[in-house]
Amino acid sequence: MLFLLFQLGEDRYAIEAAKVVAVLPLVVPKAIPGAPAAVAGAFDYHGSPVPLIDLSQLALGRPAQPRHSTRIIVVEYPIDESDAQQLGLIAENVSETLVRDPAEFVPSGVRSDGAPYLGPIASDSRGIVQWVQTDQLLPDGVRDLLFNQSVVS
Amino acid sequence: MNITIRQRILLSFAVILAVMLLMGGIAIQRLLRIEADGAVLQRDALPGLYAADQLQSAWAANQSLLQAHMLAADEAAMTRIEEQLRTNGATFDAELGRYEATVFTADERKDFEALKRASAPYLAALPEAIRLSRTHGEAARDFLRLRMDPAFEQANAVIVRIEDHNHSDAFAVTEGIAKAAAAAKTGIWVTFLGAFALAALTGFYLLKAISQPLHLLTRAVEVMAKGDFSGRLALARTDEFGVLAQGYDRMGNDLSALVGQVQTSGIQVNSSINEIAATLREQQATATEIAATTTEIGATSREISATSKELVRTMSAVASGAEQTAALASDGQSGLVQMEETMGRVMEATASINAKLAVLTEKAGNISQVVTAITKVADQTNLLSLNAAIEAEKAGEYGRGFSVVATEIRRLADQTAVSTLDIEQMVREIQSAVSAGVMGMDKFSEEVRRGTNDVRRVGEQLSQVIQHVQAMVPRFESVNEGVQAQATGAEQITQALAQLSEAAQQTVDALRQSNQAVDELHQVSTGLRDGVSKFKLQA
Repeated sequence: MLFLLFQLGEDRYAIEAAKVVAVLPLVVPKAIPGAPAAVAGAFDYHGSPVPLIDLSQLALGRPAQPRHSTRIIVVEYPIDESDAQQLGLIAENVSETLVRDPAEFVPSGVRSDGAPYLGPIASDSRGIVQWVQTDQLLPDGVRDLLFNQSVVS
Repeated sequence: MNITIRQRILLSFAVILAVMLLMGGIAIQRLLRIEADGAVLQRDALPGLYAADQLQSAWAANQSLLQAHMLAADEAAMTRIEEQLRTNGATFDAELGRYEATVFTADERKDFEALKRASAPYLAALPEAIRLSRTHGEAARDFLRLRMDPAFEQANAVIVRIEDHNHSDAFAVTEGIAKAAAAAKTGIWVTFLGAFALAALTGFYLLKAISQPLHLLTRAVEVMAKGDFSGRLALARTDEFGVLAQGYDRMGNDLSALVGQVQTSGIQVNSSINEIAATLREQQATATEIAATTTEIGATSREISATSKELVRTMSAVASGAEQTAALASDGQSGLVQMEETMGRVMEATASINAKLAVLTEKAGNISQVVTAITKVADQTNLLSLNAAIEAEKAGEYGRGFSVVATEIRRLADQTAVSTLDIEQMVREIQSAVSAGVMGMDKFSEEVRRGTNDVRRVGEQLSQVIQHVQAMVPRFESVNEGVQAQATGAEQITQALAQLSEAAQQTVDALRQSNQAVDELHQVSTGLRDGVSKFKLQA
């Protein structure tokens, strides 16, 4: 099973390639005034606006550093069981993939209520990789802010 | 009683003298009476008595001789007796005349006349009696018995009466003398006793008047002699003892004041001596310090002298050094001219290096542009390979081969990216090195320009230095002379300080002696204070 790797700070994280729509170079998003800090704004993807979440801001409390390797990962984000919306994630060092059996991931042993999206972990020669569950990425308030509006319209 | 002791004594003696005068007067009077009685006894009574006795014996002897003549045996004896009768008759006459000289009273005269009458018949009958007696006859005896014996008895009775008169007179006179003597004795005794009593009485009062205050005075003087000046007599008398007591009191006051002053003065003297002793010790310490300091200054002065001599040597070395400096400065000046030319050439070389560095910078910039382009391509390639891999994964089994290709592409892209990263790094280093080099060259050329100016200025300064150094040589000589004078002065100072040190040492010795003297003075003062403290003063 293929995973897309990225970094938050010095640590490496992984997202299942099956959830990834595309990897895009970093663009300057349109800012959304009044939104939480983790919401970097929105950008145009094939003619439709996609909300953009800064993972560094969300997890570490600081904006992602503007590098070539800092890219936008477009994922499918399930709003409910029938519908899913596209969501842009700004992550650092998005330049590698990892092929790994999901069974090799084991629970981390530390449960974080503030970050429910952090899943089990696996090791390779360069250290520990933690699986990020994109389904539980957004807090309820942010999810309502970003997607309820589009449901109504 | 306002009577002085002198008056008292005079009075007492006057009383005693008066009593004695009285006594003496009385005694003299009595004695004069006794003397008068004695004169009567001597002039009248005793010669009268004696003459009467002689008369009687001569009368009686006449009768006896007559009787003896009558009884005489031979003619020779009769003649001898007759001769004796004549002699005896002359004696009787002489005695009669002598008695007549002692006759004063009328009774005596009457008796004397009676004797003369009574004796005349006998005497007249005497030659007849002698003539008859030669015969030794009866007639003679009868004549004697009838004629001579009655005449004899008659005259003899008168003589005896005279004798009795005279005897009683003498007895009366002696009795008066004895009475007068007894009266004189009594009077003398009475006056003596009276004088004694008076003398004792006045003496007692005089003694009392003298001894009582004298005793008080003696006691007071004894108290004062023990050193107790607190007692005062305060006698309420107006005589000499009053004056003496006042004098004693005044003397006590004066002595008290004096001893008090002496005690105070003693304490002051003692404290003054202590202060003097302390001052002396301080002075001694100061003098010792001065001596030590003088010795130190002397050492310092000797060092100065030595240093001055060294300075003289150094100055001559400096003078020769200055001459050498002048020569070296001249050499340096010519060297500097050459240096200035060299600097000009360095400036030109720097300008060409700067131009070449600018070219290098431009080239590096070109390389950088190329590297940026390559980097962008590699980045795009990586992105594409990622998306390709994701798509291949989504394609499942069909996309497997494509996935391998995508991975290979991404690896190449990564290598490219790494290489370009290296190149970029190198280019960046080159660029920074070049810009540092440019800046360094700019600084260098600036330094060179400044250096050229400095060299020019140094050249001017060097010529001034040469002038100054040449001008300094004669000054060095004058400095040399001054330093030599200083060395001589320092030696003189050293000698003077040695003398001063000796004087300070002598001062220290003198102060030590003074200290001893003050110690002795202190002992004497303590003795004085102890001695004075024995005196007890009125509170």
